[in-house]
Order: sequence, then structure tokens, then C-alpha cells
Amino acid sequence: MEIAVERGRKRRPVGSGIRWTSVVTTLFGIALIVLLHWMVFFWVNTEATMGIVQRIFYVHVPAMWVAFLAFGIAALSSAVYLWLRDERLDMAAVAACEGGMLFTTVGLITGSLWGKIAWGTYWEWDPRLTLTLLLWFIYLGYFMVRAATENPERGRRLSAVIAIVGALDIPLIHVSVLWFRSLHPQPVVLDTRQPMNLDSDMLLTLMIGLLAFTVLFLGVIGFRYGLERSRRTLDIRLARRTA
Amino acid sequence: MSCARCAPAFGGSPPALRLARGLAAPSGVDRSASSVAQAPAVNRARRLRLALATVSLLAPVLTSVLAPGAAAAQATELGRQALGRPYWHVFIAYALVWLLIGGWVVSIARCLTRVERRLDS
Repeated sequence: MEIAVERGRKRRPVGSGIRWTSVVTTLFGIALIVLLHWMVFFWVNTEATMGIVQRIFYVHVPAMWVAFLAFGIAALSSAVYLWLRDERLDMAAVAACEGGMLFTTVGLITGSLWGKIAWGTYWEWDPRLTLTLLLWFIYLGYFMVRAATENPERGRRLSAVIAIVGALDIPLIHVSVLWFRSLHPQPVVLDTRQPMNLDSDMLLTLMIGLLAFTVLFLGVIGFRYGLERSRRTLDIRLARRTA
Repeated sequence: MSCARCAPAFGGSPPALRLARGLAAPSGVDRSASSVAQAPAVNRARRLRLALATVSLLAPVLTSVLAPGAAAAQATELGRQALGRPYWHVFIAYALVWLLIGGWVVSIARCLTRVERRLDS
């Protein structure tokens, strides 16, 4: 893997195409985030039962959606990595897992703040909350295994297995509110048993939130992937120099 | 008007009200001897109680006239909820979200710059 290639007279870093795509995607994501904030604070109606605190919904749900997307990408990349042993897939998995961890943290914190008003407590050992916390710890283990293994190749394989196993928790989180008695509300948008019970303005704001978080995540994940790639190139160069 | 409600609000019965009820004369003063001197004090206390009652009756009316929106919001359960702590919870939630995401982006940018500088050197 080489960091720079000859392009005429200039040396251009490998992955500059990815970087420009990331820059454009991130800027688009930021623009959508600004739009989302305008909608949340100045446009959308206040929910009748919970009042102003329901506005946390527009960051809580997109954050958890992006976390699940990130862990899904990580699991898929890891599975293909175990099959093809292509390092780029492992780098993509690392980048996605880091994003997933961050957005799960965001989802847990915003959920706690919302829960304090709605339920009267920051935390409850409810099935959905507990499984989400378990997901966070599984992916914390993903990074701990990578850091603790002396052989990097072995660490990558073990962490790939953890990423796949961890992703099995995601469908459980989704159905936990249907299978178990739960404080957490039932699905509002993805409930197939009844017609959607969400105001059209609220639904539009939620959709903008989902799009904004997804685009921003994809943009930033491109930078994170580029960082991982540069780090490994640096490691290879340093290893060559010492050899 | 009973003073049971207003007494805690004023940190106990004010001296004028205590005097009006004849509960506690100032120490060292003979009550029978000072009965003539007490009459203006009783009148002052009555006037004070009347003024307090008038203000407490007029306050909601004045509030509803001067700030009708606030009064209407206070009148409902939703209004009480919306005007209290939940505002802070929403602001803290949004602030934490962008602090975490911003911190992540900045850390990536700094690491990337450092690694590329080392690669260039």
C-alpha cells in the first residue's frame, strides 16, 4: 500500500478522490443539519402530551438509526474481510464501528434526558435500553480486542467476529419493545400493525433528521477511513525503515 | 381572612398581624395599660390585611390583562410543563449531541493532519 502516486509532476495522496467526496458530503450534511435545527426549533408543532421535550426525538431517533447503520456496515465489511482478507474492508469496519459507538452514545444520552422528563428517571433497566447498552459494550470490546492483541492480523480477525456477533443485537433491540413489556414507546414509523400515528410536519422533520445524520455520518466516515489508511501506510513505512 | 396561608410565606406572622390578634404584646408593656395606644396599631394591621387581600385578588386579574399568553400557558398542564425544566433538557441534549459529534470530527481532522505531516516528512 503506497500513500502517494505520481500524477504528472505532482505527488497526490492516494484517496484524494475519497477525501473530496467526503468534503462535499460533509458540507451537504451540515447544510441539512442547519435546516433540521430550523425545523425543530421554529417550524414543527409541539407535541400535545410531552410538550417541548419531545423535540429530543428529532436527534434521538436519527442518532440510533445511524448507529445501527454503522454497525451494519461494520458487520458486513467484517464478514467480507474474513472471507477475502482485504485490509480496506477492515479499515472500513473500524471507521464504521467508531461512528457507531459515537452515535450510540448520543442516542443513550439523549434518551436518558428525554426519559427523565417522560418517565421521571434517567435510566431504567428496560429491555430496549439494556440491549442498547449491551450493544455499546460489545463494540467497546471490539476496540479493546484490537488494542490488546499483540498480533495485529489476529486482532483484526477476532474483532471482525465481534462486529458480526454484535450486529445480531440490532434486530433484538428493534423487536424488544414488541416482545417484552417495555417503558420505551412502540415503533412509530416502522409499525406495520397499524397506520402511522405521526403528524405530517413531525414526519417530515424526522425524515430530514434521518437524512441529515446519514449524510453527515457518511461524510465523516470517509475522513475516518482516510485516517485509518494513512496510519497503516505510516506503519508500513516505519517498519520498512527499521528493517 | 385566615393568616394560616400567608404566615409561612412571610416567615411567620408579621408583628402587626400578631398585634391585631392580641397574641403577643411587646415585652415589658402592660396590655391593659396600653389598650388605648393599641387602637391605631389595630387599625393599621386591618388596613394592611385588607391591602394584602386586595393585591392577592387582583394579581391574577392583572397578570391575565398584562400578559395574556403567559397566563393562558400557566393555566394548562402542558404550559406548566413547557415553561419548566424540559427546556434545559432539550438544550442540553442538543448541545451534547453537537459537542460529541464536533469533538469526533475535530479529533479525526487533527489526527489526519498529524499523520499526513509525518508521511510527508
